[in-house]
Amino acid sequence: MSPRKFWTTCCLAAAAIAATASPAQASLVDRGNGMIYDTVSNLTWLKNADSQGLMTWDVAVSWADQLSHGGFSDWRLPGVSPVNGLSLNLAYSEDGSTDGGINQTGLNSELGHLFYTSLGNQAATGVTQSGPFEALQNYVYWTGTESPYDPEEALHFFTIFGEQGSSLKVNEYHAMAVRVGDVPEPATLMLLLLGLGAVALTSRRGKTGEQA
Amino acid sequence: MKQLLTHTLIGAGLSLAMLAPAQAQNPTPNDWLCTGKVGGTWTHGRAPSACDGSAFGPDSFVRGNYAPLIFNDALNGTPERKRYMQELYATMREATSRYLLLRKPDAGAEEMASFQRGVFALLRQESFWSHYRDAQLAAGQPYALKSMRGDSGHGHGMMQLDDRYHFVPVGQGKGWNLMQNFSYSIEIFYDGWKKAPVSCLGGATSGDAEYWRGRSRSAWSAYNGGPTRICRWQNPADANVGKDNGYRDNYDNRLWLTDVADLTKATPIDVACLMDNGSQCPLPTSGGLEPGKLLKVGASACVLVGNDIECVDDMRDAACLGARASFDASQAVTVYGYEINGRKRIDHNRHQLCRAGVDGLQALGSAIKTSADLELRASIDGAVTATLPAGTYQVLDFELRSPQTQARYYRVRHGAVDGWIAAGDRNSHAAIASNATPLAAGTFAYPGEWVAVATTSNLNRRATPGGTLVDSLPNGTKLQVKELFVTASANNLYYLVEQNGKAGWIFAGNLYPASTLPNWVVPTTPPAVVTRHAHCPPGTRYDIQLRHCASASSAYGPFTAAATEQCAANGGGAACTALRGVVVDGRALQLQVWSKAQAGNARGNGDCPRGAERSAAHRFHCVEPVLRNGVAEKDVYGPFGTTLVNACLAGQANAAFCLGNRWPASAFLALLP
Repeated sequence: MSPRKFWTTCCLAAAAIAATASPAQASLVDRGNGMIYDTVSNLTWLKNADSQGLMTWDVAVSWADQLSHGGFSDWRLPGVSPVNGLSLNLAYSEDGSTDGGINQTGLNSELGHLFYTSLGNQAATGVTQSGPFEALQNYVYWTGTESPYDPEEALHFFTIFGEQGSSLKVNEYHAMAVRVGDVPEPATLMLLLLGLGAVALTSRRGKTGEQA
Repeated sequence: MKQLLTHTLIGAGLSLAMLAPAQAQNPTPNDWLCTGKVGGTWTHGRAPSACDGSAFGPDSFVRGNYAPLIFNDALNGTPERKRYMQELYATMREATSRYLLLRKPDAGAEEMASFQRGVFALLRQESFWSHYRDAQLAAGQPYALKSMRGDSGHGHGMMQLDDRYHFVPVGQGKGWNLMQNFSYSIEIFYDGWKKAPVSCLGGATSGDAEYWRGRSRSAWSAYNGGPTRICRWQNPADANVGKDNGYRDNYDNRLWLTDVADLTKATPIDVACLMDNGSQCPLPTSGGLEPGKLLKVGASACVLVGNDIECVDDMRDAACLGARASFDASQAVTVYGYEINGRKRIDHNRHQLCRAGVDGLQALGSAIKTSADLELRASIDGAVTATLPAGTYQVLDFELRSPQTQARYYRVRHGAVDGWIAAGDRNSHAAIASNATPLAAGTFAYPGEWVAVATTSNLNRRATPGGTLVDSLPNGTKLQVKELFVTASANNLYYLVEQNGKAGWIFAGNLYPASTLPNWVVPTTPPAVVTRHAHCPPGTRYDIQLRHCASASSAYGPFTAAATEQCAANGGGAACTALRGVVVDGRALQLQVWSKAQAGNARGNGDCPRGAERSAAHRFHCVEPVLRNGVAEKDVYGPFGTTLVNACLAGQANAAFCLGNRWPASAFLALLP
């Protein structure tokens, strides 16, 4: 491939990637190797949103804890921290003012933020935007957070209804794995390496051209 | 007894009814005015047919005047039969004596004894000495007062007064009122006794035992066949020879004596008054019918509520009437039924009344969780027999002791020990015992558990408890309990069961005073292919206290419109109407999900959730009438078993409501087999 052709290809690929991401999904970056980085929440998600099928909460927690992927072993289920900064309140709200109900768009609800803010979905319509994720289910996902009211329950997120609440842990729901922080991006690395290579090549070509 | 009475008795001290002259047979239909017909046995006091007597006169009159002469089926057995016969024998002995002496003051001892023997044989031949009986319409139903009816319902009472020939007197109560039944009918027997011609006495002469025997037999032949058949018993070719021989055998063998221990015991009733004055006989003195008093009417506890009288069937539940009216519970005033005859009487089921009026009172059969060790007593006021460790137990009975404080007691079982715990009052109960999720099998089935039919004959399955027969189930049939319903102070237990795609209610025995459950159904293991009694979210189960699916902390809707309104009125806010994500059978639904406490407060503590009532037209499910978009509709509440749910899903295009606890009535009714 000629250097001109290479750069043309690179630019087209970059444009194509940019074109597939809606404004709401701009924060989601496919880091390759089956991982999606959310630049706003600083969370990296497993790209396959249903790698294990339906699981009880205990099984889901265990799966995430034991997951080793992309060279990382600090995977977990997405969590919920109190929106009021003090304690979880699962009372129903529709404005995100509590930890239960719909429109939990804030960063305190990792799944809620992903569903509403990063992917741009709506409560009334469920999953219409999957972004870069694979197999994102229009159903219900476990969080890793236990209910403050009942030790037999844990918080769930119904992607079909955009609703956060709690369920008995014996329910079988889907699970996504998440970890804090970014990961090296193979494509970026590759582009960087390729870019460096191209610079070197151009530099060398200039010299040889002069010679030619 | 068919003979027409053709004369009026005018005896000193006797004031019998004025009797109509001879009249044609009245075409009275079979079982005329016969409601609540029950069966029986050919034993003393329990002839095989009896009907409600109240069509002919108030039960209160019977209970007030003839209480010792009512055969009590609840005590069925030899002791009750002997008690009954002892009292009735004493009464008939005195009544026949009194009658004959009034009719024939110079009757000698020999005639008296023979006349009495002849009447006693008549009672045995006609009705097995049966007249009043407290009997059940069906197993599990309350005991109600019945009057003996024979001969396709035409024969009334112990003397079998026939309404086809004595229509007017029967309508006047002379079939129903025991002593009037006797007074009226004995005239006919005496007429035959008096007129027995020498020609049919077989040559026997006065003073001879055979002579008196012949007069009795003649009198009975005339009594049974009419005055022209007075010598029928002498004709061995007569079509009625069997009857005549039957009377003879009774007379000869005096078979009634097998159940009479004391031949001289005094009658327990006022024979003279009841013979002479009939319904005008003075009634027992009442304690006064006044508002604010606890009234004892028969075995029932009652209070006045406006112009109505409202009752529960046993005094032990008197405190539950506190929800209907304020009254002084310290003393019960005896009131006789005749005093309340003009009033509307409402008889409550304790299991509905007590719960509805007492916040937090747990339903029989539900599970409670006790928060601390408690004393277990043999009876509510009895000695401590054990310590009940904090834990989860099934409620086997309950009692409320004070309408003001609502002090409540539960009967529970701990290991092999059965006893009562004090479970606090209106202020403290929640901290002592509260609704819980069952942790193990109960003394009897929780919804979802399996039982097997234990009766030797087939067990009836009915559309509602004690209602229309659906079918009958043979011994050993495995049934899953979907729901239960309890009636009366005897804690008559009914299970809603499903089998072969059909749902219906079976009687499962009573729990009070002693359990008869093992006679009806016994716990069993589930069959290989298990259907579900209710389709609840995983980890939850149908709770018979709430009548909703529930976990330890949450209750799952849909809730009734009235409960939802109450939730809002209680300050429940947006959560009252919010639809939360719930998965049932792998399908994501949106349902109301309330905390159990919130649900308990909003739904009320009635048998059905607030706003709903049991509906016989909907297979005894709880049903709430609602106005939706200006249209009056009805919502039916579950549990709905697998058969119905599958049919619903198939017929309703997989509608989400099929997996919920509330269905439109139209959809429910359309799916019933």
